[in-house]
Amino acid sequence: MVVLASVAALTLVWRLLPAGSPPIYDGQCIADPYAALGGSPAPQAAEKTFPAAGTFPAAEVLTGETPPQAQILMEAGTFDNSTAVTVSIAPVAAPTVKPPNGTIEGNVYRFSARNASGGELEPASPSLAVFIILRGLTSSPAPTIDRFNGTSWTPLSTLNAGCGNTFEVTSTQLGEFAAVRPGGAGGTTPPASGGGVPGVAVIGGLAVLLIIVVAVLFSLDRRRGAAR
Amino acid sequence: MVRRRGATRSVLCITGILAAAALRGAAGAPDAAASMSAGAAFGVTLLAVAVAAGWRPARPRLAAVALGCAGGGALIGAWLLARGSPSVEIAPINAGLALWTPVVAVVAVAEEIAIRGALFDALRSWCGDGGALVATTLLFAGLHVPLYGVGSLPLDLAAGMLLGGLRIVSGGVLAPALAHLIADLAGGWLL
Repeated sequence: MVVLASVAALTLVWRLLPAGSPPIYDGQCIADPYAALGGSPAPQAAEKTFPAAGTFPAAEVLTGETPPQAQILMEAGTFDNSTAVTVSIAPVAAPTVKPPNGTIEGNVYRFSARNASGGELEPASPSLAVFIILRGLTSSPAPTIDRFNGTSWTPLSTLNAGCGNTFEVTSTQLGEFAAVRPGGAGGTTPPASGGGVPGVAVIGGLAVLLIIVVAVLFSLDRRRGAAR
Repeated sequence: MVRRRGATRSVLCITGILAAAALRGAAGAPDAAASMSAGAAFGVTLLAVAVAAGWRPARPRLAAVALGCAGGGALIGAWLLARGSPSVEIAPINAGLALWTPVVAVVAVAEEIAIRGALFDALRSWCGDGGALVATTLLFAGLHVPLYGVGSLPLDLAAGMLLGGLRIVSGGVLAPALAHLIADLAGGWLL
């Protein structure tokens, strides 16, 4: 009964998840080093053209790294698909304007959609917001994804999307997006180094706790064995 | 007396599992989910907690192997159904995948031995199969939130319930361990 109910729940949950979700229940995520603009290897761009159709299909466009450094997930009907629609993602140079909430972490990506005559498209309605997923450099502190409208940056409500420090937002507008590390002032952030004295102290404390737990469990187990 | 001992062992097992997960997060920073060394250390510490708690391997049964394979198939099948297309590709083999495969196998099996082996046994003697199922499912899902985000919570709750169900039906840890292993390996091998 439990097994059947959980299979049904699993199928339902998968149906509700964004199309690009990997089959991860647990385990180890595969993540290449972050590709920074101007570095080697260079970060990838992505583009997908959707032929004219009655309804724009549910779709995803993602860059080719592992995991993708930038992704956009779109629901059915997101764009006017009366002509062909081309959705593209491109890493671009960071604007000179700095975000108000921290420093840009990683690349700035431009997300755009164009119709057959080159006109810029936006989601057809606020209820058809797109999912923008960006990879940051670290999850601690968790970055916020900001949108740049050409003059200023706006922080968006950001969720951890999992593997490889990826984070997601929903947005009713396309444009330029970047992961922004909280605090600090201006500029882009180098990869976090981690460790340091507090990190070592935390690791040492946890190791001691584990040794104590294992020792007590062993002693309980031996007593249980002797009692049998 | 048996219930009290079960409660003490349960609390100690949960403390050990949470400490192992926190250690993985601290040692693997800034990206614990992708750190192979932190993952391997996590697996080894979980096994240490399970063995200290009295878990010992039992003789494998064919029925448990079949149940585990079916469970793994269900975990992958649910994903394929949601994709709307049954076609999958095998990932190209490279050094990264060759290193990832044994690490992910150790992590998956160690999680099952610790959570649905040692901890499940301790919880069952304290609060029965139902309590053990609920507690291990919540712990399993909660453990993955720091690594994969809150978005992983519903998926891991459902997967945890399935693995716990396999544990109850098969009477051992082999079936959930096999199912978990198959599902996790599919995450890297299938595109």
